[in-house]
Amino acid sequence: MTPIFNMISPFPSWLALLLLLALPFRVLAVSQPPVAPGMTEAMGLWTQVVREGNLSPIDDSLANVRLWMEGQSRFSDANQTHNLSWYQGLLRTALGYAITDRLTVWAGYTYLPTGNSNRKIIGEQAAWPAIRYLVPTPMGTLMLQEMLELRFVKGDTPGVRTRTMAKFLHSFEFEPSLGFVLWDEVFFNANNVVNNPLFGLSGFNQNRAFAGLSWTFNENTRVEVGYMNLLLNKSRPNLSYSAYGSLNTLSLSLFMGW
Amino acid sequence: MLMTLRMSVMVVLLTVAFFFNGCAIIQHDAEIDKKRLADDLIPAEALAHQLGQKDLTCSNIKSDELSAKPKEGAPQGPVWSNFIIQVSGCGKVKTYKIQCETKSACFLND
Repeated sequence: MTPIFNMISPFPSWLALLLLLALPFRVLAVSQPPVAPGMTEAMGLWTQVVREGNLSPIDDSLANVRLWMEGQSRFSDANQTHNLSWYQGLLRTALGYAITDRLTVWAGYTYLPTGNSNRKIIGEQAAWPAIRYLVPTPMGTLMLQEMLELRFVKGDTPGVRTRTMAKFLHSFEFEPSLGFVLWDEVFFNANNVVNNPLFGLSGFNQNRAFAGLSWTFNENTRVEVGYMNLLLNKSRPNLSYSAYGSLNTLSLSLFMGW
Repeated sequence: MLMTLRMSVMVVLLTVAFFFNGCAIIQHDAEIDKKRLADDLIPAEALAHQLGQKDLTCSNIKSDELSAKPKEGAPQGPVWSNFIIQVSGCGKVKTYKIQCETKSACFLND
């Protein structure tokens, strides 16, 4: 437990995480617990825009065919100057088929450029199938998503990775436009790809945990703002210990349908 | 040869299983949507009543459901229950589009 969590321990942990958002990043930084051996900490900002919808505007017979377009830009202070700077982008697109209003299967492509310390960009490409299911519950909406990524970087062995995501959204009765959002996504590598710094060893690769608030402008537009922790397994065969990176980010997402 | 045969049988069995699973999910989701629409209609009509009393300046309001259907909205979010509800009273009529995410989260779509 960090001192800041001790101070607000009567609250649920997700509320504690939200309250942390109100604090300036520098205050947050000094409140971090001592890092464990093999663990590095950094602060970040992730931004995301997602557009999705069906192709019925083109032709009514395409009502079950869906298009997913997404862009992300990621910033962190894990650099020599410790200033927040861009380190990664993401472009993702996919075609989907809605088996029902709740169940969609996807086939997609991702381009992930990452800037490293000598400013050289490493471009990762991934092809993937995915399945998404939206489950209504009396408390809110639960989204389950599974993705299988085939990841490629020029001159290296392809990596295979699974991504499992569970997301929960609940609207408040006093203000239906406002809600809270919790999600977690866990990544596992199916194979060792040790030459590429982006890939890593087989087994646990990373976990992303998010707690935040959503605001629904209308049925087609929603924003989600909150805290996301990225725990990344940086272990390599040449290290005598397990190495992990923890990135504490402010996450801003805009979701738009049509 | 035997391996190829086994593989072919497995692929056929998996395809058949996937097909029947898909059919079961379609039926399952249709039942969910039907129940959700029925559940959400109650708070949607309550909201329409409340709005109608104010807009029509009339306390004796009658409401009629003109349409009810599920619709996926912004990505990675809820499937909405969308209603068109007509309210009438004191010789006046007004129609509202009301969306519900859950029973407790209904609002007017202007």
